[in-house]
Parts: sequence; C-alpha cells; structure tokens
Amino acid sequence: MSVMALAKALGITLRHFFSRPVTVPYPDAPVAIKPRFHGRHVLTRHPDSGLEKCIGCSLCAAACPAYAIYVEPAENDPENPVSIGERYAKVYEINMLRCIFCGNCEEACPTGAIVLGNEFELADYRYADFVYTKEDLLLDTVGSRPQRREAARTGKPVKLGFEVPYVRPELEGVKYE
Amino acid sequence: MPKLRINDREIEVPEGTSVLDAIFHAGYDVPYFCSERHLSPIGACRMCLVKVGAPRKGKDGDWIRDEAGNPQIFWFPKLMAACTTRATEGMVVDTLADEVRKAQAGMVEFHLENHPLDCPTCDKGGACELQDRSYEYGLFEKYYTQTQNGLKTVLYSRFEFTKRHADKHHKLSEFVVLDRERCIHCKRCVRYFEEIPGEEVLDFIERGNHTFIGSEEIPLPAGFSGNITDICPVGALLDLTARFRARNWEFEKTPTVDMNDAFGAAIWVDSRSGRIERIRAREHPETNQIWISDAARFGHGWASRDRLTEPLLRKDGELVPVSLAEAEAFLAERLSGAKGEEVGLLLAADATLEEGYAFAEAARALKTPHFGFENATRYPVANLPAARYEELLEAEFALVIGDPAEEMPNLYLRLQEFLKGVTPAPRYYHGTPIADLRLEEHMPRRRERLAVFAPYPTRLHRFAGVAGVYPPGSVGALVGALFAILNGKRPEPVPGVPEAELRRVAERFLAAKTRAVVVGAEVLEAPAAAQAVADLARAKGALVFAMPPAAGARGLEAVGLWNPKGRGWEEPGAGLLLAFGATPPERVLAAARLRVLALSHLDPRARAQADLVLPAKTFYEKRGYTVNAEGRVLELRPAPTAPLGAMDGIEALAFWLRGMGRKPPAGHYREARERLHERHKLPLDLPEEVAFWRPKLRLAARPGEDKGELFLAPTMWRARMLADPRVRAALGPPRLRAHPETARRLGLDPGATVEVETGYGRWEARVELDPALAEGALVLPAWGRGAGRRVAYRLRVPAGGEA
Repeated sequence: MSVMALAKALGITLRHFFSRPVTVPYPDAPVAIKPRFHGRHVLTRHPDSGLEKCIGCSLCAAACPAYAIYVEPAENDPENPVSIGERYAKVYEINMLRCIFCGNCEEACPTGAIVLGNEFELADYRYADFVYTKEDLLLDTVGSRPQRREAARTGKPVKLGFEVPYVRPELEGVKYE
Repeated sequence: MPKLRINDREIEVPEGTSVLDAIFHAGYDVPYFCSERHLSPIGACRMCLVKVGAPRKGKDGDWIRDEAGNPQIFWFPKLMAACTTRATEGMVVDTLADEVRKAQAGMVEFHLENHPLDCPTCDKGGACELQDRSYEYGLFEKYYTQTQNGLKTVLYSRFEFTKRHADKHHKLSEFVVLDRERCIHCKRCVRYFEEIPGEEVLDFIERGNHTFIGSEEIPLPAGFSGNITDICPVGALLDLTARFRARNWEFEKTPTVDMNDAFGAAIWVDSRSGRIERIRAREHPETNQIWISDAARFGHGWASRDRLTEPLLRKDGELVPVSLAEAEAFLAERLSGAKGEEVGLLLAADATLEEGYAFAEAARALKTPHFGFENATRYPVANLPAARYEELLEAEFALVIGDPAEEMPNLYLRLQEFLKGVTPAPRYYHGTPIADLRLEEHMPRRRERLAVFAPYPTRLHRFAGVAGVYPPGSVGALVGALFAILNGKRPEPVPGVPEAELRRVAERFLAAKTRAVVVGAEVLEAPAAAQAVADLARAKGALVFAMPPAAGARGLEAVGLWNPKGRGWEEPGAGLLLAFGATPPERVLAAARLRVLALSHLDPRARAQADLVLPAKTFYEKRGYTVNAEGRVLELRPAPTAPLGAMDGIEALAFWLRGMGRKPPAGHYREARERLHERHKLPLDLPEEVAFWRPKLRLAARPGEDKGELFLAPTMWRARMLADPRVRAALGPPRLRAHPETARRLGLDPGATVEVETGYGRWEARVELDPALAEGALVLPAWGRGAGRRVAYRLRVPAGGEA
C-alpha cells in the first residue's frame, strides 16, 4: 500500500466532506417528492359549488384489492345537498393499515372524487386511529390524523414533511402548505 | 315433441316451447329483456333476434326436399324474435351468424340510446340485465372518440343524440319509485299487473320516443306492487325501502322463508352491516314462483330498528339493562321451588319446528296445561288434509271462504293463475319449466270456476262467478247450508246469502271433476264448520287449502304444541310466564306472578308489565325448519343481523328451565334438531320439492265460539311492521268499516277518528261506511293478532266521551 493510495482515499473522503449531501435531514427538512407519488387519499370537491364529488357509488370499495374501503351511501336532501345528484357518501372510511396505495380506487372512481394525494406521514399508535373517515379525507383537511393531533396539542400549524414541484390537476383545490 | 337444431346441436323440446327456451336448453345463450317466464311473451325488446328456418311441406303432404333428399330449410325472410316463435319440428336456428350478432348489437345500441349513464348512482347497478347484456352483446366493432387530452375513448354508440329527459323520481307509492329515463319499455311491469294480481294499473302512455309508464292510480294499490321491482330488467322501478342503502354486490344475501304468513314464500334477505336492508323474492317454482306480497317485501323495517340488545330487569319499577349472569340469578331466585304446572310457555306464531318441539317437550315434562302458540285457531289446521299449491291449478272449481289476498297473498296469485286456466308448465329433465307460450296478454278469467264468500268484499270478489258477503259470525251457518245442499238436504237460511246462490255453488261443485276448497281463519275459528270441511274433503275428494293465521301453525301443532284444553295465549292462568317472540295480552300478563318475555323489540305492554326481558331473534335470524300450509318442509337460514346475545326460542327456554333447576329438552339448535328428527322423522335431507311432512292427526278441537261484534279482518301486514314510518304512511290509519245502518245505530260518523279497544290492543281508527257489508257488520283490520275472530270492543271518540 503506497502513500499515494492513502492520499487518494482520504481525498475522496475530504471531497464528500465538503460537497452537498444527497440525503435529506428529514424531518427537519422537507422531502422532495414526485407529483405522482401515491400517498394518503383526498376526497375532492367541485371547485365552484364546493359540493363533494363523491356520489357514494362504492366502486372504489369494489375495486380495492385490500378491502380497505367502506362506503355507506344516503340520499341527498334536495334543499341542502352534500354532493351533486341524488346520492352522497354518508360514511366513507379507508383503513390506512390495509391500504396498499395501488390507486385502483382512483381509477375506478367515476367522478374523480377519490384521489391519491401526496401525504405519507401516517404513523400512529392505535389500530382504530388508522381508519380514516370523511373528515380526515376531505380536501380541506391538511395533514394526517397524528399530525393534526400534534398540531392541535402544540397550537402550531400542521407541519408536512414533503414538498412537490406542483400539485397534479386531479387534486384540484388541494394545498400542501 | 318437436326435434330441432340449434346451431350444431340437435335437441328435442316439449310442445309449446319457445325458440328462446330451446336455445337455452341447447346450451347456447341469447339476450332478452322483455321475456319473463311467468308472463306472456310479447317480443317488445327485439333483443332475442335469431335466424330461424323451417322445412316446408309440399302439396303431397311430404317435406319439400333438396337435391340430397333432405327436407329443404326455408329461412324466414328476416330475423325472428326467439321469445315469441314456437319451436317446431325440423326447425333450424342459428344464433351465431354475423347478421344475428350485428342485429343484437344494434338493439343494445338502440336500448342505450336514451338510457342515462347513471349506473354509479343506480340501485340496480351490478344486478342490471341491461348492463350485463351491453357487455355481452353490445357493439363488438369498437368506435372511438378523441377526448380533450388527446386520449381515445371507446364509444358505446355510433350515434350522437341528446338523450331524452323525463321524470327521474316518480314515486308510484311509498315503496316503489319509477325512473322514467331508465325505462326501456319492456312492458314487464304492465303485463305483471294485468296478468299476475289481475289489476290493470300501469300502462304505456304516448308513443314512440315519448312513451312512458304511467298510472291513474297513484299510489299503486298495496298488496303485490313490489314484484315489479324484481322483474324490472333495468333500474327504472326500484324498492324505496332499500334506496341507496348499498350496492348489489355488497349485500349479504341469505336465502330463507317468509314467516309472516303460512304460505312459506321463499325470500332473499339482503343485509349489510347487521341491518336488513331489502327483501327480494326467491324463486321457488312449487310455492311462490317468483312473487311475494308487499308485506313480505316491504315490511322488514321493524326488524332492524330499536332492537333489544341486552337483558332488561325490572328494578324499582323500571326496566334496566343487566348482565346475563344477573338475569340468570334473578330467574334462579324467582323460580326456585316453582311447580311445573304453574309455568306458562307461550311461543310466537312464526316459530320454527325446533322451537315448537322444545316448547312442547318442556310443557309435557312440566305437566303444565298452559302452553301454546300465538294465533292458534280453535280448530287445529293440522287435522285438515293439505294439498300442494300446484294441485289447485288442476282443479276445475274452487270454493273460497275467506280472504286469500290478505291471509295468504301468494295463494291469491295462485288463484289468479287458476282463473286463467293455466296448468303448471311442462319441465325439462333438469327441472326448469319452459316459458309458457300459452300465456297471453289479457287472458279471460274463467269466473264460473270460482265462488267466494267472506264477511266483507275481498279482492277476489270481482273475479268470482258467485260472490257473497255474509255477516260476520254466520260462517258456520254458511258452511252448514252449503254442505246440507251438497248432501241433498234442506239448508237452513243464511243471512245475506240467497239460497239460489248456494245451490249454484253446490251444482258447480258437484259437476267439477276436481275441486278445491280454500278456507280462511274465520272457518278455522268455527270448529263445526272446519270439521265439515274436513269431512267434505274426505267424502267428496276435495283439495283443501287452509290459511291459518299463524305462520307455523301446521308444523307447531304436529310437533305437539297443540293445546285443546286452554288457549295458551288468550286465557290468564299461568303464574310463571315465559313468552317467546311476542307479548301476550294484558290480562294474561296481569294474572302472572313472574313475567319473562323474550322479545326482539320492547313494546309498551312489555315495558309496563314484564319482569325480565331477554333479547330475542326475529325469524329472519333463526336457523331451523318450518312446515308451510301445504305441508312442505322449508328451511330457514339465518341472516347475519341478530344482535350479539339475542336468543332463539330454544336458548330462551333452556335459560328458563336451568333457572328452575331442570334439564332443558335441548340446549341449543343442533340438539333440538337432532331430537326432533329422532322423534318425528322429518324429511330434512330431501330437496324441498319433495320434502313433505303431513302426519295424519286427529287433534281435538278447542270448544267455544266467539261472542263479540267486532270482526277482525285478516291482513297481510302485521302490527310489528307499523314500527316503520314508511309502512304507517302507506297504510294510513286503520279503517273501521261499518254498514251504514250499524254506524247509525252506534252513532259513528263517516270519516271520524275513533279509538277502538279490543283484547288485542288499541287502535286509532277512521270510520268508513261500506254498504257492501252485511247489516250489523263492524270490521277492523287485525294486523296479525286474532285474525278471523269476533271480539268484544270499546269505542271511544278522541274527545274522551263514550261513543
């Protein structure tokens, strides 16, 4: 082993010591993810009327290979509709432990109501807390359940650990900030 | 039996088979919407177009032959609708030709032209014939369109039209909704009403593209309207009780038997997340075919609302939830040292054979005279011979005493079939009956084949050659007079029914080769009349169809729950009371020291008087067997909707007997079933087509006669169903019908609301004058309890003064 070789190896070490790291210091810094990353689902709304796009047809539940979705529909009150049309989802639940984030629900949805978003920080403690209901999934909700719980505890806004170059058009109305 | 060729297969089919059925029999498929086995074929939808050819006979009477010497096939110039074409000797059918495929695809395209694409919100989605046929037979050449983002999308139609828009939410009744956009004009519902229950209510209005289904009668007459939701091939007619409850593939589908009446109609119980959401008719060719009554279909709401989920014990005058262990301790304390003969064991009318057996055995072991089942009639129906429903169609004359449309609605439909003179269709060796080309639209009803007598005008009256209304209470006189004439004696006069009419009935009865007698609850409540019917059946060979008010009556009586000495449910006497499935009358409860009720729902009487209430299963949730009115053994299968801890009769009885420190006859269902099988040798392993249990019994009738003035008319609806607001809205307040003279005597004003109190309960009824009733008649719907009986009553106008 020559001195030259030793110097060369040390040179590599030194070069990397002063270059920018490829890793991200998550969670202190956000992760850059691709816009088509399959994360936590979002139940979208019609942008102008604000009505839910979901009509409670259960096709997402039928397409789900992991049986993670449960939908219970109900009839809209014509005076005060929840969604466009006659029917809406009274109960919409996704079990995030079962979900494999394959995106079949999004493909099956005839109204583009259920869209896989970009959030991925879902770790939690109790099984029951992984069953996401409509209020966890609707477009206005930012952050997963544990994140919102943490935000409520500290009184600070939800801190998301990622950033996307742009929000894809299917997720119309979703703001990650 | 004509022989014909379907594509490459030679088959032989019974005379009268349609080409459609012949194709299915050969193992090929053909699409159809309008055709329905139990309705007349009309060829409305043109989906079943196939290429048909047949040999032709020459002038010499022999087949015209081709050069090879085979009969020459002459093809029909155009494609034929297979459902209306009769299969004939030597016929050749081609279902695979390109022109057939093209024509069928064109028809699918045509049907979809005006059909909205709202499958995701349509309750028929997933069980829709139009969906299935569109996939199977729709356009096979693909047509594409460019969408905005440059992607290609498959078109379902080559044409671009603005779809026809029509009424999407047209409520036909509280239970049925019509979506006129979805209708494809197959005419099944129109034909159903005219041909099956014999009521012309729906029809096509306008023509061509503007055609829609309409009715002069909104709401539809309740009774048999629900069946149109089953036969509608698309989502145009839907069941409102299940509206938007779940998609078709999400239901738990349980095949079981309807226990609201004694007919034993086969049903599907569709449940989801522990709630019964929908009842559909299940096909059973020998009993209900594919029809059920509205009460059986729409009257399920009670079962899933306000269920009892835990035992309730009375503490300081209030019923409070307790654990089962506490209930057990309470029972053990109160029952210690109890004498067997003090115990009263009462079972609901819709109990299974196994429950009946357990109760009968327990009553025998305890040596108690207080036992029985609800709505037991004075004359045991098990004494009467039972005929198969299909045998009715072979009869030439039927005498009906009662109201089949309400007492056993499906038997009413069988009587309609009988009136049309339709005999059961021949069957293929695999048991499927062929579609009946003898069925036609607007078939004449052969009125001369039917005579009807009832204490009020029934639905059947307008179809009968001889129809009479007698005053309630003279059914004994009527049967006596009729049978006196049949035996050549002088009859006693019957009020309301002229003797000449009776003579006409007797004449036709004797002239007919095969005859049927249909008797209702009122006859069964008059032992002498019922015995006369039994004797007549034996002497003259008449088929008897008895319609007991208790669904399980025939079976419960046969397994030993018949109690000729006391009226278990009616007469007070038992000190320690266990009632399963229903609450006994107030006076029975008041006379008891200990009142334990096993109920699925808490009712006001139980809330006021019960000491301990145990949660019970409804008949939808029970496992077991029952014997229907024709003596057929039918299996009940449990829908997964019972709350945890709900008991069936066997478990509730075992719970009680263990409290007494005695060994129960069976601890659970399997044990009861084994014991029952051992003791009575039931044909439980045979298929339902041949599983009959008709032990020859000579049970003693209960003596006595009703003394009251108020007649409780049988109804298909049960009091418990009224817990559902939809049912209440559909039925309206009970009608107290009175002859105008009677009303005047009692000071009743038409349209006034009065409170009627009988031993069975209290009703707010609306007074209605009915000149068609016999004088002195006062008729109130029974809603299940005491149907066909005459009871004492108290009237009160709501202001508080005695009417």
